[in-house]
Amino acid sequence: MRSLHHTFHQIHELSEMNLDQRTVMLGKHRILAEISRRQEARRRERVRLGDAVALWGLRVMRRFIPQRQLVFGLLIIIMLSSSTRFIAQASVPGDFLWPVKLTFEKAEVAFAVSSVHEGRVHIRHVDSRLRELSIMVSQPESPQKSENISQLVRRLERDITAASHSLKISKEEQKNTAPQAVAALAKDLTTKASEAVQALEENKNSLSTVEPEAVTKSLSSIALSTSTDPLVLSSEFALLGSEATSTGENIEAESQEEKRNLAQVIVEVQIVNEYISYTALEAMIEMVERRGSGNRAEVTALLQNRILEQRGRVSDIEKITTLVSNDFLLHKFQTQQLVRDAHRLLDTAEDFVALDNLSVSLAKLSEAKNVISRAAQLLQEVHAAGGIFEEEPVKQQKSALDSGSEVTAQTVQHVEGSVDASVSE
Amino acid sequence: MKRFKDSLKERIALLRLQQGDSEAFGFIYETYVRQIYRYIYFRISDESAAHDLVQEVFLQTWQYVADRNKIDRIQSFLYKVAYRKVVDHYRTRERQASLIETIEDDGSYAVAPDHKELEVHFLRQHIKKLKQEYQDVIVLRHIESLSIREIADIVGKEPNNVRVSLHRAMESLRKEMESRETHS
Repeated sequence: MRSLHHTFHQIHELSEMNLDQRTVMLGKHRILAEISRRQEARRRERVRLGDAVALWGLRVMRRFIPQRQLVFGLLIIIMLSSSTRFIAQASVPGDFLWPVKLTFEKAEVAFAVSSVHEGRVHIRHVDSRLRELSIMVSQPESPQKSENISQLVRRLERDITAASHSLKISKEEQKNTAPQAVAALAKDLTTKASEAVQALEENKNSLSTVEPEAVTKSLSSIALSTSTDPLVLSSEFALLGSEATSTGENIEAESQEEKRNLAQVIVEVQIVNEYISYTALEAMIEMVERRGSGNRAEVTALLQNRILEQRGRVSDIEKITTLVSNDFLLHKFQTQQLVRDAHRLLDTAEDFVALDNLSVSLAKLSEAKNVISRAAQLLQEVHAAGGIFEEEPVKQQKSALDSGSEVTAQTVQHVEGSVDASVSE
Repeated sequence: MKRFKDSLKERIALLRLQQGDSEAFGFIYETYVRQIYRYIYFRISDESAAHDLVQEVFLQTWQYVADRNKIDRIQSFLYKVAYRKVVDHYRTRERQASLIETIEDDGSYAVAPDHKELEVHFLRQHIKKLKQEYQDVIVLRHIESLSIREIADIVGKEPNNVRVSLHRAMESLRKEMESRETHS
């Protein structure tokens, strides 16, 4: 063992196991040269702080940068959808892009932030329908044309009804909405509905050759849908009794009709009066009286127009009352009483207009409206029981109905006379 | 006292090396190159390859420090790198068998060796016949005079395992030598 350790120790002394000083120094210079070369290379490769930050930023950003294919795909989708929408704007019923246009319109409605905004969107759609109508009418006749027009008219009807519905909702939400916005919406809707009615009336000939009944139905439908607002009453009444309205000039035309569907008039008066709410007018009066804004003369004229329209309705009721059978004397008498009340209220409303107290006038007008509704309801009951002589034309009252402004007094006298005669019988 | 002074110098050189001072690395090279060369040469018995491996060991050490890695004891670290280089050398080039063969074949000297050289020559032959693991612990312990703890650090084992390996290695070497003597 001892000799083994000795042998181990001898290994150190072997010349082949030891490096001489020259070899060591040579190796040292060689390795230091290599180190120096590597240090230089590292120095060249060393990234400056700014570059390092930029590199780090790029590395981070690369994770957030989407793939090129994805970006191209999205761009193409956006371009296609926007161009499709743009092209679809010019489409009319019958075009293959028209359903696309309607889909975009549905999306617009879905994204509306409030009922007022929704109403405006619907009005815009009505405008679009009217443009389409003008294009369709000017198109040459084709087998598909009638179908397309009826489709368009139905759509127009739906859009106006939807706009009217939105207006109704915004009125109910009026506490949370600016009354000016509701009033402006009502005004726009009125204008647009008038335009729609006008367009349908103007093109009635060309449309009626296509589908007359559908157009007439649409006119009535539009009238009813817009009748929730007093601002549209003029157009509404012109439509409801397109052959028989109650305003002065039209009474004459109406009375010249050989026959008249009394039930229709009664129901229409009743329904229209129930539908009417003077919210928008009230908002306008409030603006004029309390805030001093708006055009007072215009609002006054509007109120007078509403009063005149109610007078027309009273005249209708009055005329029909004269045809009530004596078997329904109680109903007849009650109706006559209601008519007198209505006249009195309307007179008061007119007096307040003259006194420049528009809000009280409007309150009287609302009362008159309710009274007229009740009278129409009574007449409807009588008519349902067969107590009205539809055979008798209204010609008997023709002379009394000649002039719009003199209608009320003369009719009242006549009714009173009839009632007296009936009572004496 | 001299040992403490050398240790202090070595410590300072290591600190300077970690600061990127290549002169300090020159000092470390001069201090340890002989030991590392002896270890490698004893293990692979190829002078040219041993010189190359020594260069690689020192360059790898410098690279390790330049990459801002910390070294506690430079001597242990150098032996550790050298140990791996030797293992890689045998593993990749598969020279172990051929080298032993070469040594065995090379048993006769051109010039008549003296007694001391002959003893060392036979000892190397016996050691080369042992397992790699035994060769390493014998060389590191008895030729390089490293402590058990340092050897354990170099070969990556527990000190107790190293002790056992060393004991078995010495037993194997002794048997090998006895069998040769009996044979001759």
